[in-house]
Amino acid sequence: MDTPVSNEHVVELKSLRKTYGAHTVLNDLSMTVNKGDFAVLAGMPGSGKSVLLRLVLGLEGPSSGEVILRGKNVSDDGPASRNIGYVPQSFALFPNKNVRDNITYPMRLDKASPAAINDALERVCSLLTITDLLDKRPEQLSGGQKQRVAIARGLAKETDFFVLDDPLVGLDFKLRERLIDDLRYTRSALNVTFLYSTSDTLESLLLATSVAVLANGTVVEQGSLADVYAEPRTADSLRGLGFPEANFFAGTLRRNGSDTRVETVFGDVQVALDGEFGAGDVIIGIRPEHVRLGEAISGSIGVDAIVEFTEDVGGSEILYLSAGETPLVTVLGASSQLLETVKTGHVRASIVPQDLLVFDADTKVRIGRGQGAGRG
Amino acid sequence: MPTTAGLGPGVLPDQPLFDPSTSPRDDKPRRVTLAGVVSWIVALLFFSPILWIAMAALKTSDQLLASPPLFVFKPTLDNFLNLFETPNILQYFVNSVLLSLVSVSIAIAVSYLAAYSFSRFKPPGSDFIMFLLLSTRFVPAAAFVIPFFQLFGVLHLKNTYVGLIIFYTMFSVPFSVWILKGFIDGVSPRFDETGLVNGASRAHVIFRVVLPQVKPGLVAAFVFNIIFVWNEFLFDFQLGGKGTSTIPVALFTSLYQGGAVNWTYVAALGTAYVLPLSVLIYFFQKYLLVGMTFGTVRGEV
Repeated sequence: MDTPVSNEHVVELKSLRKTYGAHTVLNDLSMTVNKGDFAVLAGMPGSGKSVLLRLVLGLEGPSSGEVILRGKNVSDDGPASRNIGYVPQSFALFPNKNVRDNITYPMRLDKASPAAINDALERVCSLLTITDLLDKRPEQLSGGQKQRVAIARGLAKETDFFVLDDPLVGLDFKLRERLIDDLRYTRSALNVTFLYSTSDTLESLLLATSVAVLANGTVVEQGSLADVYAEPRTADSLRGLGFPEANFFAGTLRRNGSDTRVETVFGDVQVALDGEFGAGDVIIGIRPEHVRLGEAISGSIGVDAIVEFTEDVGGSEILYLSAGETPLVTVLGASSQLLETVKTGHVRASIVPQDLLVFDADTKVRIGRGQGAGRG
Repeated sequence: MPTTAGLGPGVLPDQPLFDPSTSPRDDKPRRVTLAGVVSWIVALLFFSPILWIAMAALKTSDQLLASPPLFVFKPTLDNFLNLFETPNILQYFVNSVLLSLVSVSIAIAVSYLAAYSFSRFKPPGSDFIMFLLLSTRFVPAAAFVIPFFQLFGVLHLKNTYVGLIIFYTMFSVPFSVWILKGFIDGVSPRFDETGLVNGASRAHVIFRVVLPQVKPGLVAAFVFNIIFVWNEFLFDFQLGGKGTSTIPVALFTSLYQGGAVNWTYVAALGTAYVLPLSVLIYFFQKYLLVGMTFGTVRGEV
């Protein structure tokens, strides 16, 4: 995981709102992208990622709020003056141009000198290993090659900031893995800033230095990937970042004086609240890797579960369990000795109460987490 | 021949398992041949008026009027040579070419911009505006003759190239907009956005990004409308005059020569007139389907 280079903001969005008629797509959205970041905009499909990127690119104006780019308010400026490199979701390679002309298109528009165009072409082609494709037409390329050319065209622009709109969507797993490596390498080699939208958790985890989680038209959480992953402040962040997806259960918070508890499938868990919160409905979440199998460790609480089915995802196994009527997901390394136990179909699943996160059922904001004294 | 006789009574009826005389596969070539013959007959029936004109153009007046009609005769090019002696014939041709090419070219240019606007900006009431555009083509052309006659009289546009070019342009725009909008809709707006974000002007996007991708649509709209304008008779007859007559009008007005219909003249002029269009249609026929389906059926285009 790379670390952000600087805290200087390349993009700052202030209280952005975007409506189409009566339909509000983005509401009171604020976020920043720091210089040198690989900033990932994570969110489910339909959460407003593409609209947000369109506002940053200047393809649409906000209904209210401000788009600050490199310290300047560009809310009313068109896309041409913003000097942003862009890789669209679909390849959008000009079918009437060969790969060379497609890639050099942004530079030719900028009226760059032939020498500068050649330099940029060489640079992006060697980065993305597509030098041998230069004379081909887009229809002669495979899906992966098209995507690399589209990325190369986006990166050919002489700028410090690039927007990539879910560029790997629809590609097969192997190809995506390769392009993810390429993108990470490219960003650090060029020392530029990327704003990258995706609904794919793995992409977010593999690419991001910082992440903004978008849900219900607003950024519910933003920070370094490590922080947001370890300490998600909303249920959407927990859900949106992590593979496989986190386990969620509905629960009720009970208070008895200073003793606050929730009942879980693992048993009663004492909750340490982050602030003031009365009794009421909550959402309880726990990451799959925190659901352990085998011998219980000190302070853990456990439950007997049935193995419903397993999935081999190369290097690890995803286990789908059921504890009574409650589904649970966990992961095991492919070489784990516990896989033998799994084959029997019956396992003991346990958790450390501190790994349980408790969210308000209405706002989905985290209100606390489990603490030591569980009662099985 | 294998039969089911050996299987015993009641198992299967005692008949051949395979009878080549009733095999569907065997029947297929015969049906294909029959379909081919029928297709040829129907096609030739449709083509027969053109064939008749072309043959008549190569006959002498006596051969043309012979009864029963002559199918075997010594062809002559005299009728075509005589065309050059007809007064103003060159001008009629020039008028036909000029009015068709100029008005359709203007219509395509205007329609392309309109179609781009409808496709990308979707102004309020787009569907209704598109319907209104096409509505002029729902009504029989004869219904428009009087208003246009009066309008062109008031505006002094009768018997002028400008007037007829305006009219034919107006009549070519609706279909062109519909055809081209279908094509532009098929070009992802991501192309436009890629251009705009990289610093292109809207004009660059329209003419350098989208236009190259809808060339088949432009050809379809052009061919479709050129056929209409090339063949148009009624409005040129009403709104034109001697100086702006096209071949269809010339065919009609010079039909009678010396108190009788000059059939060889009609046949030769008709053939000379149909020929360029036939060549155009032959080479661009795949675009006609596109035009008639407003670009929704692309075929090989």
